[in-house]
Amino acid sequence: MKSLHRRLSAALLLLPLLFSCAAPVWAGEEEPWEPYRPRLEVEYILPVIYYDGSLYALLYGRMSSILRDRELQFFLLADERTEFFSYVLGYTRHRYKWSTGINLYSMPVNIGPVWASGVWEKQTGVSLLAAYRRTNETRYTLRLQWEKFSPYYVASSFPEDPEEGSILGWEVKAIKDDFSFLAQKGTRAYLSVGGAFPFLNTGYRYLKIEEDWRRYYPLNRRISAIFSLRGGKIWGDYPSHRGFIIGGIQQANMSGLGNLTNQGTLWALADSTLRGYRLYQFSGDGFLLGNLELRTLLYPSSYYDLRLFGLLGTVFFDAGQVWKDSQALSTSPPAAWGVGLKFFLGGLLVGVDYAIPLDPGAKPRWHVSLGEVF
Amino acid sequence: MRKSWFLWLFLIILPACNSSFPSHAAIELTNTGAEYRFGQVKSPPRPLEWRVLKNARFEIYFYQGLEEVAIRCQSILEEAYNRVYPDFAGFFTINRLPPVRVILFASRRDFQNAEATGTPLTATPEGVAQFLVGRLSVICQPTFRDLRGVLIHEVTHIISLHPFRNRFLGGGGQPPDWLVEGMAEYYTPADSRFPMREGALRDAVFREQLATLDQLRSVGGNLDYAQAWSLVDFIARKHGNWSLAELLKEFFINGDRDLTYRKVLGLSRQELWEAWRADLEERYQAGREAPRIDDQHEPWIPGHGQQMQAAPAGEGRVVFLSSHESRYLDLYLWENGKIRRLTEETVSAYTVSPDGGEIIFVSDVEGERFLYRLETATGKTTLLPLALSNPVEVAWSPAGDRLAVTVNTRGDTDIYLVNLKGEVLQAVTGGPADETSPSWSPDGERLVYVAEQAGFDQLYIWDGKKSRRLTGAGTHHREPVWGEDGRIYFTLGDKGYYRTAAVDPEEGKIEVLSPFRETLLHPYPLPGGEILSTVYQNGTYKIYRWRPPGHGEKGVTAE
Repeated sequence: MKSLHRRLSAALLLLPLLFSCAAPVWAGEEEPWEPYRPRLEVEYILPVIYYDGSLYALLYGRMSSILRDRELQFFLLADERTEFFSYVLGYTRHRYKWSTGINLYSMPVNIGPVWASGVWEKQTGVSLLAAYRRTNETRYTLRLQWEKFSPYYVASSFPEDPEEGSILGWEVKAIKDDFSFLAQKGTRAYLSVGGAFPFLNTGYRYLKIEEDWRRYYPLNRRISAIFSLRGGKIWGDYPSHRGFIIGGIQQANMSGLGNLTNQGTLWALADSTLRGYRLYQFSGDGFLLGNLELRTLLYPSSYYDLRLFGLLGTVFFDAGQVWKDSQALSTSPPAAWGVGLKFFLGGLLVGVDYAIPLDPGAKPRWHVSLGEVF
Repeated sequence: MRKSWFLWLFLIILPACNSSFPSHAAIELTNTGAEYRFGQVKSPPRPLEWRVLKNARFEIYFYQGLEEVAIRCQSILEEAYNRVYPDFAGFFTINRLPPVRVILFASRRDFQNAEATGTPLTATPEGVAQFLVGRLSVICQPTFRDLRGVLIHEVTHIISLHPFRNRFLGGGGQPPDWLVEGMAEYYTPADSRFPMREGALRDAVFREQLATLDQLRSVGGNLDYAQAWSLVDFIARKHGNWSLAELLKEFFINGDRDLTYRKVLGLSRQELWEAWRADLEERYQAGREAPRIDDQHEPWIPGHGQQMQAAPAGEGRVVFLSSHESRYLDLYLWENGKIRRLTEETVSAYTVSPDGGEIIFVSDVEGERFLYRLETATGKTTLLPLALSNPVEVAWSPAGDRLAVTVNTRGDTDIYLVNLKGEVLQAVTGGPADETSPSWSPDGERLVYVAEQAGFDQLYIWDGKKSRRLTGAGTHHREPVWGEDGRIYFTLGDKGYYRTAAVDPEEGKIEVLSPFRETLLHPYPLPGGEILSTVYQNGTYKIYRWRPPGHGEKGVTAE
């Protein structure tokens, strides 16, 4: 097994070189310049080697052409103790309006927010990606992805039994985002249609639609109102632990399926918000979720004056419903209201919320969040 | 789950790296790390046909429309190399400096929309030096002088820091920002340095608000840059240029500690700071005893962040630029004490029609700089087609039928007359240096503009056929506005102290009008004898309305 690791490591280290080819030389007869030819160069390679009785070797690197219209990122981790060999290798090509890429990966991934384990699974896969960038605010993405996944840790609070399997999926997504944090103004929205079909031993066939729409209204220089509406539905046979799992503030479960991607390398932020309820409380194949938040900048006096520190206060109301096999999971829709503080720390928002469910039997809860929750 | 710290390191490093080094690969496609992953992307406004101009030391990457600029950049870069490299040549005895790659962008928006820059869509620098990979991204500046300043600044970063690039990745001591940015400013020729660097520094000295060396470990904003430049300039004057390279090396070895300062300069950090402060106290004496403007006047427009370049717009209204509701400057209209935002397009220059009903402004919101025509009452904005590319400034003639437009088509600015259809009527200037800031005489027959002569900006008058130099003293003469009274009002000064003055266009006799200790910019004379000025104080620009002493009370309307 270790020799396999060594062979794989060597092969992956050499892979970047395959993308690096000599630039043909051309010179115009009259012009003193020549046309630009992209060629990959190393930007940085960060190696880390650690030994605590077992050997860990980590290599993170990035190559790009001078105009960064070709990019290659790679991440390699050999872990002698668990015999995991993890890698991520992404190659992207940018053209006018279009970006295309291929992504190879094999790595442990936590399906859940960064502050609470949900399911740890090993994901191995390949994805082909394309994006058409209509404007800076709108884009359309297309993803075709094969992935093999095998769970190896499940949190006791996680509501579903994780499955082991493989999937061949696709997704088309339209994204609009003209939100300005400083102006507290704009819309962030996406509509995603995706699914999976059986092919060469992959085991799932389903169709999924998911939407996310958030609107920010500045009421004055300090106060803004934010409205969010999310919903989704899955028809067919899907990995149950990748369905819609709602409760608390979390990010990965819904979009994990929606994006059909490995989540491990992506920045983890909260994507679904139903405060007043515990993490992973509701699990199903359909959901609807709405949030209303009134946000006040307590310090400084204007978002434009934000530097290293800022403080925001919020009052919010969350409500939603989750369905499984067309049956609502609770007779009265879960809903809660509450107050919170958000600390702006050098560009990162850290939120602490106190939520009180409307259900008289439920206890109030504290929640922590990172970034823009919605 | 195995609780290995290494796995957590694995999970932490990747987002951190993705965040720190933007422009993701296929993993997330098109997003930059500094932006939200939700959606905002880089979508170039037009296809760019990239080319490269090479010599032994530099590779200049540029696209269509920048051919002449690229060639001029080559000469600036050679100048930069010759200014900077000799002082750091000792760093390159074993490994030579590889060719520096310079990526040119026509506009800020092109720069922001390029993957090459590695910056988010809201980035507002003039250039970025990525010294780890020897790449330099530079936005073509409005004038040749500005472009020269930015290029030399950024090339200084590459030459001085490139030998230490592995130390940035490998840890160890790091130089403070004041040295890194201060050297870049120090090697920039004085006439290409941002004029208000010294204005801010002088103000801080007067207020006894000089930053400590601890505070200058991180540099951001004009005043910080000014202090960094001044400190490096002081060290170079007292200890020689060699000490800069030596300091840099020692910072990488020993870090920002007293030991480093004593070893190179023979001073403790505190002693260096005190010597520098004493030097500045001596340097900035002019105007120290003059009265403060806010002893006699209040800022005319309360609040509204940074305000500048006010001009009357008829019926008692005043137009000005402000960054009140964005990171960029936009047009605002003051009318009877109420203020209305006119644009959301990012305005760099503007002119008001003679009747005040329309404004023509310059914006690069579409990628390239264009002229836009705005109806003041309705806010309706339309593109004004222009036969010339890259307009930088514009001045509406008193009769309303012509525009004097400053354009930068070859790397430097020239002034042309165009009609309101954007067709060229006549070239006013065409020299290889910058000619800027045109202003019409009240009869519409002549123009006053600014051009450099022997290191100082001077006023020139164009009479329809030829130009003659109006001023000649060894100080700067900038931002002229031809008043209704026939005199030309302008900004006069040097070394961070700029005052409002007026000159007789026939005799060239200059009268200094502002008696204040503060720097006053962008004077606009009002018919009643008052003047609208942009006043720099304590890091902010505010508009003041004031009357020169001894010029009587003749009414206070803005019209």
